[in-house]
Amino acid sequence: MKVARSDKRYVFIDMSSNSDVTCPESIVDLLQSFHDDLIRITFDRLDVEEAFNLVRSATCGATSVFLGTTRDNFNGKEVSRLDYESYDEMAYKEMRQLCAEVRRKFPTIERIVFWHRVGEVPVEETSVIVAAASPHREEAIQAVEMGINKIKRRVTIWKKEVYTDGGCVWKENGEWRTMKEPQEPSATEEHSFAVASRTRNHCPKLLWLQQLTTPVNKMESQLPNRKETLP
Amino acid sequence: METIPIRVLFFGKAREIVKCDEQSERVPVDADYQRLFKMIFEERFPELKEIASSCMLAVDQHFCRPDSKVELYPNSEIAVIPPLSGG
Repeated sequence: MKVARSDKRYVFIDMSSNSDVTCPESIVDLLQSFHDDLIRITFDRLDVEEAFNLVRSATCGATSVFLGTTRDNFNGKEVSRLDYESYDEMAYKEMRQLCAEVRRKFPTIERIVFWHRVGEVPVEETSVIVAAASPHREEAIQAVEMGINKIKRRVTIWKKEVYTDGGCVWKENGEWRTMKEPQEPSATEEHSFAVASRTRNHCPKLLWLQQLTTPVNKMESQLPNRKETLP
Repeated sequence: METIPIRVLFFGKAREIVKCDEQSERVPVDADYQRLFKMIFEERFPELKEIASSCMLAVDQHFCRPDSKVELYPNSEIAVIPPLSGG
């Protein structure tokens, strides 16, 4: 995890699951997530152009990008920087879950960026980038808004505000008090139709894997009294 | 009573108060959330009591509520989670 903060070649997927059932579709979803949910916690400066180039696509007419930057003042005090720290394993897990929730609500979203910087972030520098692209603007804008609001509510990252007079204070997001979200409604037909109608170019290798797993499902459904087992 | 080893992780303000990232402890295997909370904030690390009311615990990277069922395994991670302030 520590290496990943300085080397963007590393990405983490949480393989633990509370479900006793694994199916080819969930594995394909996981691999799709690698491709489309771009999550990073890093010491490095965040590059907005890099984020934009990663999410944009020819099939998306709208790319929405939010940057959170260090403000120079709080309650009349002059701020010199924010110091961020994170519980990486849990933060990655939560952000990947957030991506899934954003996609359920906004099914036309293609790629999502959730990037967060840790360590010292001086005034005016960027601490967080949330970006999303979709064919039309409404979903991209709302997805980014949902993303940053949920990051502030649930992701295990903390910041300390450091003042020019040498004082410092750990901050608390207003969302913390209402951290427990109500259960989200289950998928509707409209959602399923939208997912099926996604017009983006799937990664060819994922299509291949999807096709490979389809005959296995057909075979299993033809066998009577066959229980689902873990591979 | 059977006890198992667990790892307690500290972050943010909690880390500053206890002056470390992680401590190994032994806890009853059937401890529930309330028992764990009391053990951490009152018994093992009483210096955390001042921030206890604003903290939560996460067990093996899942947030726990007071009514959550807690399943502990050897070397489970129990994280002391002060108020979040990411983003």
